[in-house]
Amino acid sequence: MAQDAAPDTAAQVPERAPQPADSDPQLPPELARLPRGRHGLPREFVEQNQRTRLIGGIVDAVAEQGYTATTIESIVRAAGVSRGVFYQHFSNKEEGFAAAYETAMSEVRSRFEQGFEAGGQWPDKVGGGLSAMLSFLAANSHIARVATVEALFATPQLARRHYEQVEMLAPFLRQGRQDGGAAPVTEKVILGGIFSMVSRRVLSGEERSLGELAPELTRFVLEAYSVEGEGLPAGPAPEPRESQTVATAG
Amino acid sequence: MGAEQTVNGSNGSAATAASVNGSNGSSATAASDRVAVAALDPVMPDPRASGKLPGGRHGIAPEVVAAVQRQRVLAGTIAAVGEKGYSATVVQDVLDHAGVSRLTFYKFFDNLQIGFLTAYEIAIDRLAQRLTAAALGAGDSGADRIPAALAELLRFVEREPRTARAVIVEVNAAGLEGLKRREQTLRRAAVALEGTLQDAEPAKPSPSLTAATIVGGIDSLLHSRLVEGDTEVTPLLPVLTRFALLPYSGVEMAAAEPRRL
Repeated sequence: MAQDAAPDTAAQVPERAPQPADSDPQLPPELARLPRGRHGLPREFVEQNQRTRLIGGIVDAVAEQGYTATTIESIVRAAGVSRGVFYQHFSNKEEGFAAAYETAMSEVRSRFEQGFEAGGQWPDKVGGGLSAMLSFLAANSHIARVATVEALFATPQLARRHYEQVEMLAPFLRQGRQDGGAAPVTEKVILGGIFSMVSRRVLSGEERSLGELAPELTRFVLEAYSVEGEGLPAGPAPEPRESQTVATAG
Repeated sequence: MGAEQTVNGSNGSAATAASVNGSNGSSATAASDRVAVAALDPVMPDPRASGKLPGGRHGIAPEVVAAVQRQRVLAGTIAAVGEKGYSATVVQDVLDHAGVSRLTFYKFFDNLQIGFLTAYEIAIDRLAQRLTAAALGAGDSGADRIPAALAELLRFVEREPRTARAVIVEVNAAGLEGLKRREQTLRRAAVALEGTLQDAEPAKPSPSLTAATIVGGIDSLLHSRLVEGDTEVTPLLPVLTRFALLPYSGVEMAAAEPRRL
């Protein structure tokens, strides 16, 4: 029994000193605990905050114990909320995990997008996107675990969701197509290869070194789109050639 | 799963089973299928393919009986796990598929995980043999061999979807050891791919990151199809071939010594 998780909602808990932000440095500031007692915060804010904390708790619990071994008990303990709060937001572990997974993945994708948009030509953008995504995963091991390993292996439903999420990155790669008509499977298999490499590093506890993969994975993607062209310069940082060359070569 | 082949292989323990069992074991459909796929050893035969051993005094050597039983347990494990998923499978499901007693199961394996991982290794070895045979039969260059091996892989998924689901999807659910075996399989495949691409023998002991990424992409695509329940994968052949031949396509992939895993 977790004593700190007993009463139902934050508002009814007797006053206690507000706690500092959660010890996990990975968690954003909004995951700090709400002040206890009558705090006059709007209900919507409280609920949103609870949900955010729950999601942080799910990410931590699943990353540490694996999806199968994770219990509601360990989630609410990690989140610092009551069991009742969990069930206000999610009807079961899978639903909670799906929400946490989507939050983690959308964070991963937004890092890719930011890195991508910061680049100039398409080859540069791909390199920027992959570097940004991989550094983010390297620095956030719990998110890396949840986003690239646990969903894939938890249940078939979650695995399906994983592929949907990963494929949301396809449009960024598709910009590099020479022929417009290439099968959409191309992006799936390229993204699958990238995420497979990432998940295997995470599984072997080497997520801190994920950043190293960026140059070669970038080269891999660029080459995948230039098969019929004259090829791209080898080497870790491909020259930002005019993207038209890449896009129309062949 | 009607799509699973029920033919006996032409060698190995399945053949032992067939000879023990005489002519009455295989189902009627198997006889016609046999002609078409005679060259193909199923990666994992149907657990019932060997038929039941005769009861009572049959004069069959105990080692032969044990080998047949073990084969049935292994095939039953793959069938049960491929059908229900690893987490939902219990030993009783294996017994139902294999038609053996609980005692027989535990005579060979201490638990489901050990049984499943043993069957996994056997299935992967057979699959590797089939891919190698297809590759070697297709020509001398990587450009000939890779598509042949890939076609064989896709044929396996289509013809033995239950086994494919067990070895591509469910191994991930079989604990840490399952994940370790999968990692070994992917490495092995990447080493083979790289060796074939470079027409090099023997292949380097650890694969390049490129080869590993290609194998990871193919595994991931098949995994995603199987969790969707979609086993019509033959149309993927051109895309996968193009993808797998990337390093072969004149791009200066080998200019710098690639990173090894």
